[in-house]
Amino acid sequence: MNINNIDFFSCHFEIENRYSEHNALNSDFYKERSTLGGWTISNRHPIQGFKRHAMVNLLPNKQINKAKIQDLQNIIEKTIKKYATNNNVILLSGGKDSTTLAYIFKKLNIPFKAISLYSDLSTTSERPVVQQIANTLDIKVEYYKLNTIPEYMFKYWIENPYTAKYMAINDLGLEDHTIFTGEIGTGEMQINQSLQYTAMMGYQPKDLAYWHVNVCGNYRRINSTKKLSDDSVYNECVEHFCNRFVEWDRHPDILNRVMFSRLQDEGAFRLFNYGLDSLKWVHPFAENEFIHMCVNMPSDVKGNKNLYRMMYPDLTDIPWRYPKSGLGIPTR
Amino acid sequence: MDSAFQLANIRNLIIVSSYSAKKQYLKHVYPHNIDCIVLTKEEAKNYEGDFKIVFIGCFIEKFAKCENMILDDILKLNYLWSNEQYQIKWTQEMLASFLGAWFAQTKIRKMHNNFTNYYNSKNESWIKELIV
Repeated sequence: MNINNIDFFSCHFEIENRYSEHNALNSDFYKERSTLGGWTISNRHPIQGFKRHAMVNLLPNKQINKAKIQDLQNIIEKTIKKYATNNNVILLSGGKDSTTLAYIFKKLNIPFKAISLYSDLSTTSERPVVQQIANTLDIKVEYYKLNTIPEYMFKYWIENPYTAKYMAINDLGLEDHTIFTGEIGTGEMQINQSLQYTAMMGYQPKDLAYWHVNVCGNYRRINSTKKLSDDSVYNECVEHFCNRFVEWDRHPDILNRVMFSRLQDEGAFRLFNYGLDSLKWVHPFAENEFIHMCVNMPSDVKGNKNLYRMMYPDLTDIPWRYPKSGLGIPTR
Repeated sequence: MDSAFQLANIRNLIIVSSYSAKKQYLKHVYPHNIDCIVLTKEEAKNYEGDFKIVFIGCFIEKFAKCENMILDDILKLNYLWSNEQYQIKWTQEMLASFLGAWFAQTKIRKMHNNFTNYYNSKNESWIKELIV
């Protein structure tokens, strides 16, 4: 379960009742899930007759806030202190977000176990990067090897990293710990391509709506802004992101629209599966106050600017020197 | 949209010879792979740094130490050979995919990995024979 306040990403699928077994699978749900590479944005449910309920609160404000970097630092530290216990785990991926998290724990003198997942079968490995970070932060990392992820666990949305983390926590006997993740950190959403496109072509929300669907549906490999399918579900997905841009129209900073128009949908996907189990998960960067402030700050403090290093100038730059390669553990 | 230029983390450059060439690239190829910035050789003179660069119809000596590729001869494979078996019939989408893959190689180099495992799971093919 998610124990911190993540209302901007909360959603739920209706629970199937006792008649569910008589209901047919909703093929359009699976088509949509395939179109977006493992998740959905409509109210479709895997079973016909049931629905998904999306988040209600919207992130964009009508005004840009005047928050300072110090305010972000205060909020994230307050959040971590609020949820930390005597038994904490940080899942260290080698990326910016979890590294920053570990740094803050060290700074606040809060004890934690650092766990990092890896696979022999992955095409790329972040283990050497994680080890460099561990050396720099002076922390001990326990490495957990996982070579396959069982597919049967994906009832609604397919999110391999969550499943891998869940298996690791259980295998390592850490079920009673509070587990901190770097989910929905500022480095999370793929914003560089949309910024570059806007730099070249001006603000083109319709094109970026196509790009959102294409890049998600092709596991980040196709960065096209063109219409790639005539399928009605594909078109619906594009329309959804067009509507997201319309919702963002009220926000005056155009580049915030460009960077964050997919954030709530993809963030809901990233966090959803954590809410289904009985473990205690905390995602400090997704905390209401932090993410809302961060998104509505002027865009010029984001993008390629290193927000975390502005918050913590002593933070190691190791994760910024290596391209993120992801978990890369195949499903069975 | 100068501010978008300021915020983007620019690593991949396409440099073309003229403004009209840039216009054509933006029209035909760029929409199929937006993970780059397109510049004329005049505009590129203002850039400093370590980029991955694809030159089309030009070359700029000051970027010679950056990882770079001159596309001209590769594009010429579209029509050069009388024997069709030696041609590469480029489409705009193919060219965008090819450049996207070339730009993405940084990750493999920095992480010291390869794609051997990917090909292990594929059927027998001459490509697999080359890689595994």
